[in-house]
Amino acid sequence: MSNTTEIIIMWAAVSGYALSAALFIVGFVFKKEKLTFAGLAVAAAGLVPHVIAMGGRWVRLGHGPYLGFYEVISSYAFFGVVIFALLVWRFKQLRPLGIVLMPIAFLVLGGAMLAPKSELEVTAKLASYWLAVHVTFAKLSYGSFITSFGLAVIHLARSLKPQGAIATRLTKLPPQDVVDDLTFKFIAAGFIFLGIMIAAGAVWANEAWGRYWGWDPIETWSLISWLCYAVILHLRLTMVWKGDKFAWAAVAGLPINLFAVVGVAIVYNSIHGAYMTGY
Amino acid sequence: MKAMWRLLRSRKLAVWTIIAFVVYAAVATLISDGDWSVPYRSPIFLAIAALLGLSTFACAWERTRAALKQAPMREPSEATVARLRERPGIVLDVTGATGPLAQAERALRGLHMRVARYGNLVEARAGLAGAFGSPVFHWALALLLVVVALGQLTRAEGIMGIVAGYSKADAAESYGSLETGPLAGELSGRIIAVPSIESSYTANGVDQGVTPFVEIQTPAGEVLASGYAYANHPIRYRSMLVHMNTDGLGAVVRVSGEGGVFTEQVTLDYNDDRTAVEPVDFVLEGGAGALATVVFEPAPGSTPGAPTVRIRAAEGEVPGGAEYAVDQVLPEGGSIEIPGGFTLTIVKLTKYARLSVVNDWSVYWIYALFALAAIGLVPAVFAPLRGVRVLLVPDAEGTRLHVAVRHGRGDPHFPGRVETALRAGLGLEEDS
Ligand code: HEM
Repeated sequence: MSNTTEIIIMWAAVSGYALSAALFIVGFVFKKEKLTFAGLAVAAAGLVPHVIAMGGRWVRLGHGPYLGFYEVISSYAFFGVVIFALLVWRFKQLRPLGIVLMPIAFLVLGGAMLAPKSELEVTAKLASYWLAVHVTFAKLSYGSFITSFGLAVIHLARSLKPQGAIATRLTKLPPQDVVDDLTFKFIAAGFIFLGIMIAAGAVWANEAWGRYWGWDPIETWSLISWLCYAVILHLRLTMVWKGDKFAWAAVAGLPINLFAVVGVAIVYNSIHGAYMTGY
Repeated sequence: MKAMWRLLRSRKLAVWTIIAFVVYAAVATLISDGDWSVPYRSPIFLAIAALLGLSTFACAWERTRAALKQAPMREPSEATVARLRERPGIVLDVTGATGPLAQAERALRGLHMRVARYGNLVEARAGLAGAFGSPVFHWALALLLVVVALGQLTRAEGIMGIVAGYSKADAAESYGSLETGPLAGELSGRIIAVPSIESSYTANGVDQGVTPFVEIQTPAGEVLASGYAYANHPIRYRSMLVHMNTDGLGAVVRVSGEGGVFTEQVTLDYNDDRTAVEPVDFVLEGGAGALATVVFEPAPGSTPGAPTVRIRAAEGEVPGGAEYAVDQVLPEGGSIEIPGGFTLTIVKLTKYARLSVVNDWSVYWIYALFALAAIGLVPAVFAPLRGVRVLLVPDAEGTRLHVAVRHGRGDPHFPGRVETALRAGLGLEEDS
């Protein structure tokens, strides 16, 4: 697939997510439930051009979507929508999550389209199967944390103003304790994935450089976000934080994690930042 | 002592210690620029890490005790039974049913629970792996901190340059730079040999560039491990790991003087653009206090295929600003007289490989503890200990089952699932 074809197909995905976001928002505001079903269908349809464009690029460049801002960010949007679709498939009532997640997916993928689509090569330093393990678990963990964030936001929106405009539109969702439990499960899953990601990174660093840990900012910040989620899990499991308190903690975890993934690579010039800035 | 133990296993202390660790690490990345690991050698950080380790040990101990207490099935105390009689979670009316407890047992087995009967009471448990997962995870973390600390104290890491066709011993004097932990023992004395260096070598579908063939040998010369060393492909023997770092121009020089004859490897690094090698100073010591400084430098017109070096030399130690008595370009095999009564011969002029050699026994233990932590954590969060207790309560109006349900993570669906299974097993209506 040529570069141009890829970009055209990718724009189809962007348009799909935009339409889906619009359907969710309009359906939510005007309480038209059918529109949110349509929004879900369009989101799922948008995954098709997205995966084709990513796959075409994968074949053309010979590596998965993990080198350079465009590839990394686009694949986050992809994993976000996949996890959202799977979640709603399992828990139909969670459809309203789309109001939060689909505009994010649209903005993220749209943003990626505006960035330079540098075609970076897998250098000798990168060619390792540990990279695949590392990258896969990183994406799984960020997807889980973003979902837990969306769930916590819904929980808070409903409990802060139980009679408010938002809460009354979310009455079909599962009860609060189920949302709370799901938030916990996604945080726990994200924590495990992030742990595996860090461990795989350490093994890889040892293979590549002879040291498993060097306190490089990316390493340090991944550990920081892992430990922050460990604190959140302890608040839940040892101090029995539930409901709103726990939802606030889940909401607070995401910015730290986002800084670890996106911020650090941009702020610090480290050997590790190449995946985002691509030098 | 007791108060200390109580403090160590306190959950608040655990959370605050993790927070202290996080804050320290965040501030350290903010203020240190470049040499990232320096702040982590400070006593403050080591104290936080040690406290985290101790507290994790204490908690692992506590978790183990709790799991040993909760997981095995045993007859509940009178008080527990009385509580269930007074305040049941779920009440099922089973008046008229035959053998309701036996049916409840069957229903609970259907939920993949282990079941035991004590008179009028049925106990059921599931999630043994989950119950012990938490202690296993915390033990793994605590041990991880210990092993990492011991590994850092005893590891050795250094860089040595070896000219193609030659070797060096794993001994302090062979290294250009060497860092050893304060408790590191003797270096291994093994021989690291580089029989050849390829100008290009393809592996994993990528050109790996200049690639040395590396051998790790016993001091007697027996080969223990060998192979091409390139990115992501170190040569290893037990805990010794040899990485290719970079290459440069290497010379083997033979010097003869009053003090005898010796051979030395001289490594010359390329500059950042790899257009020329950087000059290197080399002090010769001969008999009767004879000293000479030799500077090796790239010769103009030197090519990788036919390298030459420019050699300048002067008598004495560092000739700060002094004139060099000798200034000459030599190819491989060339020979030159140096002030102080030395004769210097370029025996070999070829590539050298700069190798990073690490000896750290702790790495594989760390990997094993990672695996153990994951094995413990997954059931701990996703399949925690679950318990169901069913008590047969006959009274004047009929027969009831009092049911108590416990889920290690408070899954709100679990009581409903248990109730549905019991109702189905007992043939009761959904909302009788
Ligand atoms: C490096 C530090 C630590 C990390 C990353 C960590 C992480 C975790 C995680 C992921 C869980 C949830 C899974 C489970 O049930 O085990 C957990 C639970 C727990 N942790 Fe930690 N932990 C750490 C240290 C500690 C310490 C120092 C304590 C001591 C107070 C502690 C006490 C507990 C307790 C009581 C639970 C609940 C266990 C249960 O419900 O069975 N943890 N921890």
